[in-house]
This record gives sequence, structure tokens and C-alpha cells, in this order.
Amino acid sequence: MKYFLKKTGILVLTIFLISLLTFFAFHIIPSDPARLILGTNASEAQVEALRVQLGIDRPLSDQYISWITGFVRGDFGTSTKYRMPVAELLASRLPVTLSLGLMALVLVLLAGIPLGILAARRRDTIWEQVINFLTMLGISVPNFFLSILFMWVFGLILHWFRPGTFVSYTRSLSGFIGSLFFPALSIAIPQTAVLVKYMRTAMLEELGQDYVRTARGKGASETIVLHIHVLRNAIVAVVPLIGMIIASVLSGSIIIEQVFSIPGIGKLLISAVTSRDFPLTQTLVVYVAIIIVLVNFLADIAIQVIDPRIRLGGS
Amino acid sequence: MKKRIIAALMTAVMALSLAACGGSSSQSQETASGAAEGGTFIYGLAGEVSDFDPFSAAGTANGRSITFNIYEGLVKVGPDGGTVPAVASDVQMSEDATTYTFTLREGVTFHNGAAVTTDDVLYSVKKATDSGLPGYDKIASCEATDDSTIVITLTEPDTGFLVYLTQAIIPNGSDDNGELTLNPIGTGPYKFESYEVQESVTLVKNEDYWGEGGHLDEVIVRFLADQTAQLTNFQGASIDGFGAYGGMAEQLEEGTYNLYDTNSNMVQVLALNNKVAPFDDVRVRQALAYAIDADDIIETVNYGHAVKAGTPVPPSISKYYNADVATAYDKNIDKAKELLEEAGYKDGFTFTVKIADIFPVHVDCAQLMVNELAEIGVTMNIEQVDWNTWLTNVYGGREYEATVVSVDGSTVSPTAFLSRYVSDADNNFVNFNSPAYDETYKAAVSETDDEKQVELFKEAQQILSDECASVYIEDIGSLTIYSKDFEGYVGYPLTAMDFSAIHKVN
Repeated sequence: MKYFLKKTGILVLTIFLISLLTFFAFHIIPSDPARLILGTNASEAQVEALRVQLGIDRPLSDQYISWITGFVRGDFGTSTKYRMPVAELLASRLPVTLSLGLMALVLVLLAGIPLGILAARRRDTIWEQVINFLTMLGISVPNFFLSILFMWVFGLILHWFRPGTFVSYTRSLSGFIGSLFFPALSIAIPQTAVLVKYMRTAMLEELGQDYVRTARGKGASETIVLHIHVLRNAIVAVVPLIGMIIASVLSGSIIIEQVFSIPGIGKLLISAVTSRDFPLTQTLVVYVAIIIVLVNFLADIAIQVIDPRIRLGGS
Repeated sequence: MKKRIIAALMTAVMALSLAACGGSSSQSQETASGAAEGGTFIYGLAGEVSDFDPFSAAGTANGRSITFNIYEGLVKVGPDGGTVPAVASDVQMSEDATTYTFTLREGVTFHNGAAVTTDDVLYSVKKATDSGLPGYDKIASCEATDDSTIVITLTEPDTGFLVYLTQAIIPNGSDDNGELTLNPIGTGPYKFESYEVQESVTLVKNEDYWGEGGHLDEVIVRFLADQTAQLTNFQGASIDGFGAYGGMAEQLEEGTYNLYDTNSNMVQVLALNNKVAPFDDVRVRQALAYAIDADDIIETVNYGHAVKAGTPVPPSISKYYNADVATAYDKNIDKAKELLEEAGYKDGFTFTVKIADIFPVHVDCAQLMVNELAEIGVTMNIEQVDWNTWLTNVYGGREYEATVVSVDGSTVSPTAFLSRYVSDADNNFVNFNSPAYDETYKAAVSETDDEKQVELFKEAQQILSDECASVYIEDIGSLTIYSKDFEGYVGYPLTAMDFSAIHKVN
């Protein structure tokens, strides 16, 4: 109980600090959403009239205070760029980004864990060399480059999908998954490479432990040793990494959504920042932060479930 | 825990440091006959439109491309740049150019089915005035004298006042709290159907349109990240058409598209801050103008798709364009060096040009200028900034030495392009200051004799050229590209996209 209270306290403090940081960032960067909406043709009077209409004629500190007091009550304010409630924008975008992230994560886990085991199992063979080479390649290639490559090869040459078209899940679920597959793959590949590398190292480390020698001594086959004894312990070492991977998947989707033009949180966030939309940026940043902090919190619990020796709040 | 806070903070910082793109599209002429009716046309826009506010969306080129089809004014802009009657069927200007009388057209209805009345017009004019739109501050009174007549009286004579009345006529009381921003209602040939944030806007044909109306049943405008996205989407057949600048067509396979080569109706300028040394010296500004070769830029960067300008007024507004100044500063290295020496910069100097990164074409042009200026010993450093920084610091704050930009006009009147050079104009971002110019411009605006007025506007451009307010380079050509399935294009001397001109090919 004490652990949860402490954890929640830290969560709230983190979120608050992040929102404060966003606020300061807005102070530093030049910002005039009204001018941005009206372009170069508007007169000063026109810009001023719009500022009043959008409520951005007030000092930024006032805007921050009204945003944060609203946020606590569940009112995220109105987007200055899109002129609609932030909550409405968020509700339509969140499922898209979460689906994309989830899909990428499933791909990472489906490919990363078996490949990591394979690399550990087939150590000192040509397999290891091949996997090592592929992981190095995977880690070095940026995800946006992969997306452009996929778009070119699978979209423009092979015509497996139409670049730039996005099917909403409300229209067709299979179409939705289809339009997220290649974006998810571009996010997944670099993260998979990281996971394989960690998984392999963790497995090899465990293989040197005393209990492995004991297991082998009992006459357990190499398969049993690897999959029952070693894997369980290796996973414990990898779970915190999965928390980090989820964070990377989310930040990766910010860039990938832009490249594939997927209407998720990332694309909205970039637009919010470039249009200096204060309520929208604040809410999105805080939302992403909450997700990441929660994921790490869940990772902590997962470790404890897998290995009860680790006590929560012990450290 | 510390690590986690840092991870979360990094996400926030990364999000903040990212920047995205926008852009603009534009055009000018040609139509084809034998139109097939019906069909859906998907237009790919580089950038996005986030509001359809009748009075502010029209301020940006992208917004205007769409709202041009939804809203109409008492008059609207015709293909030749003049005004043609729209919601009003007839317009009378008094001798002294202070009173304008409009007769409402019969049978014009809004997209919501209601007939247009004088109340709607009075409301719309009031809204435009309250929004601070240019020109409306000159209105002394606007009243309905009977059921179909509106009389607008001005505080001072203005023969060019009609261009301001191209602003939207909207239903009385419909926009008290900005309701039309996301749900526009106008009288145009296409009506608003739906809008998906950052995705697209869908327009459908207005069957009750008073005029000839459009051919297509439906027009979907999709918002794309940039010109690369336009190109890949077009190649992947996800869009049927898009607007681009010269050079883009070279990347498409020949014979797979219909091309309309037009003007952008704005002049690209190397704007020099007249208040900052050394550009406060007219000789230095002239030296730069002599060193920069517009013809070379047109050939090299724009593949010949551009028109040399020499003045802020686009050559397409031929009535007011002063063609004499186009060649005033043809490349002359010796003269440029001489002027620099006179000004005390024999060994040249270094300055920074700030360019908004959403306009790759300006960056490309600037790179060529760097080489040209090096010939006279001047070093120009290019600094790319994001659009908001540009608008706030460069355009609004005037904190810059030089910038490259194409400034568009919201109306086709010469005032839209020349008013900013009046020394106390709030959008005079180059800080130009010439009493002679101020006087000439003022005389031009209040002149009631058409011929004399044209002369005065040309004279104003001559002063800008003599004083070399900045280096006016070119009207960058704009291309409109359709797939082979579509034809039809009507251009206007302002940035607009007329969907009613497009039709399907059988």
C-alpha cells in the first residue's frame, strides 16, 4: 500500500514537472498561434481580434493555470488550431496510436525473444554470426528510413498497399490492421534488434550460473535447461528493457505516423507544437508521459510476478 | 525512478523539438469542353487546413483554395482579375467613388436552403468589419434601402473598393460564436460535407447553385505532409491531382498526367531589412540587386517555370504591373562592385538570410544566390527556421537582416501588394521608408480616375525599384497536375483552386 502511494505520488509529480517543462518551452520558442492561423495577409487588428477570440491574449502563465486547473477536473481545454475540445481530438487519436504501438510491440516480442534464444542456443555457429549481423543492421538503421524504404518497395513497386491511405478502424478492421502493418514493422525492427541483443546476452550470462551446472548435472537436456531454467531468469533481466522499448515504440510512432500520414497522437502532437497550440500540446505531452510512467510501473509489477524474490519498494 | 523521469522528460523534449511542414499551392488558366458529369476528385494539398472560418481561413493560400468553392461575396474575382457579380447581380458605383449600390441576385440560396436576404448581407459586412478585414475600415455606413438593395457608403473615395467585397456572405446570425469555423455555410458551387482533422475535407456539389455550377459530384481534399508526399500519393493513385512548383513534373513519367502551367501570383523577394546596416544604405541594396541574376534562378531552380518580376506586384496583374522595372537590375557585376565600394564595403561583408523551412524552393534559390553574391565579395549564410519562428521573429518582429519569401495578396488589388511599403504600415516588414512613396501610394488609392490611378500605382512601383526596397526576383511558376482521368482548370490571379472547372474525362 505504501509502495502504491509512493509510486502514485512520484507519478503525479513527474506529470506536473513535465507539464511545467512544456510551459517553459513555450515561453522560450517564438509563438503566436493567431498570426500562424492568419498568415501574412492579416492586419494587426485582425490578428488581435483572433487572439481575443482564442483566449491567447492573456499571459501564458494564466493560460497554464487555467489549463492545469481544467486538466485536474478532466477538462483539457480547446485547441487553438483545430477550434474543438482537446478531449475530442484525443479520443479519436488515442486508439490509433495505441493500436500502432501494440502492434509494433507484439512484433518485437514475437520476433525478439525467439531470435534471442536462437542466438544463445546456436552460439559459436554461423547462425550466431548471421543474427549478430542482422541485429547490428537493425540497430543502425533509423526507423524513418525503413518506412521510406517500405513505402517505396511495397507501396510503389509491388503495390501491396497504397502509400498515404489510412483506413479507420470504424470503417474496416482488417483494412485498419493492414494500413498499420508496415508502419508497425518500421518501428518494430530497430527495437527487435535491441531486444535480441539483450536477450542473447542475458541468456549467456545465465548459462554461466551455478544452477545451470546443477540442472545439467541432474541430467536435464539442453532444451530443458535453456527453455525452462535459463529463459525464466533471462526474462527477468529483460522486462525492464521492455518498458524502455514501449517508450521507444511510442516515440517512434511520432515520427512514423508523420511519414505514413497516420492520424495518431504523434502526427497531432507535431502539428500542435508547430502551430503553438498550447492546450493541445500540454495535454498530449502529459498523456504520453502518463502512458510511459504507467508502463514502467507495470514492468515493475511484472518482474515481481515472474520472480517473487524481488520485493516491491525494496530498493 | 530517476531514469524513468528522465525517459519521460526526454519524450517530452523530443516531442517539442520536432517540427512539421506545410506549404502552399496556386495557379492561372485554361478550360476544356466536353465535360463528363459526376465523379469524385481527390486533390492532394501540401499542408492542412484546420478551419473554414469565412473571414480568417481566406487569409492563407491553402484555406483559400478550399473556401473559394464554398463562400461567395457580393462580387467575386474573375479569371482576368476583375470582379464579377455573384450574390449581387448588379453593382453601381457613384461618380465620386464613395457610394456603392448592390442589387441582390434573385434565387440565391445558402447551402442550408435559406434564401439570401439583405439581413444576411448586413450581418456579413458587420462580421467582416469586426474581424478587422482590410478595406472594411473605410465603410461609413452599410444599409438596406429595400428588400433587394444594399447601399455602402465610404469615408473616402476608393475606386478599387469592390475587391474587398469578395468576402463571404453568410446567413444572418450563423457565426455569432464562430460556428462556421468547422461547419461552413455559403452560397458557392460546392458545399461542405465533412472534415476529418489532419486528414481531409469533403465537399459535395451544390445542386441549387444559382450559376452554372460544378461538374464533379464530390471533391475530397486530402492533407499531405509535403511535396514528396504529394508525389508518392499521385504515383500511387491515392490522389487525382495536386499543385506544385516547377521541377516537380520532371519527376513524373511523361504522358501519365495532365499539366497546367500557371503563375503563383506572388513575387519571390530577397527581402532586405532597410533598418539594419548595411542594408540601410540604398547603394548596398542596389549592389545586391545587380549581383543577383533572376534569369539564372528561373532557369536553374525553376526549370524555366517562372516570370521575372522586378516589383512586388505579380506580372499577372497586368493592368497595374509596371513592366519597365523588370530589367532595371539586370546582372552587372562591375556596377555592383562599384556601388559597394562607394558605400564603403570594398571588401564585401557577411550577412544571414533567414528562410522558413516549409518552403524548399526558397532555400534552393538562396543557395544559388550565395554563389552569385560571392562574386562581389559578399558572404550570405542561410539559416533555416520553422514557419512560426519566421512569422513571429522575421515577419512580425522584424528581427532579421534578410529573408527570402513569396508574399501573396489576399485580394487581386495592387494595394494588397503595395500597401505594406508605406512607412508606417504594420506589415512593412522590410522597414521601407520613403516619403515620396507614401505620398504616391496615398494619391493612387484615392484617385478616382482609373487611368490616372493605374499610372500612380506604376509610379509607386518605380519608386520601390529606384530605392531598391528589396530584390524582387520572380513569380514562381506553379503547376497543377491531374491524372489522365481529369481535365479542366480555371486560373485566377490570386491563390485559389476552382473545383467547378474540373471534370472527368470519359
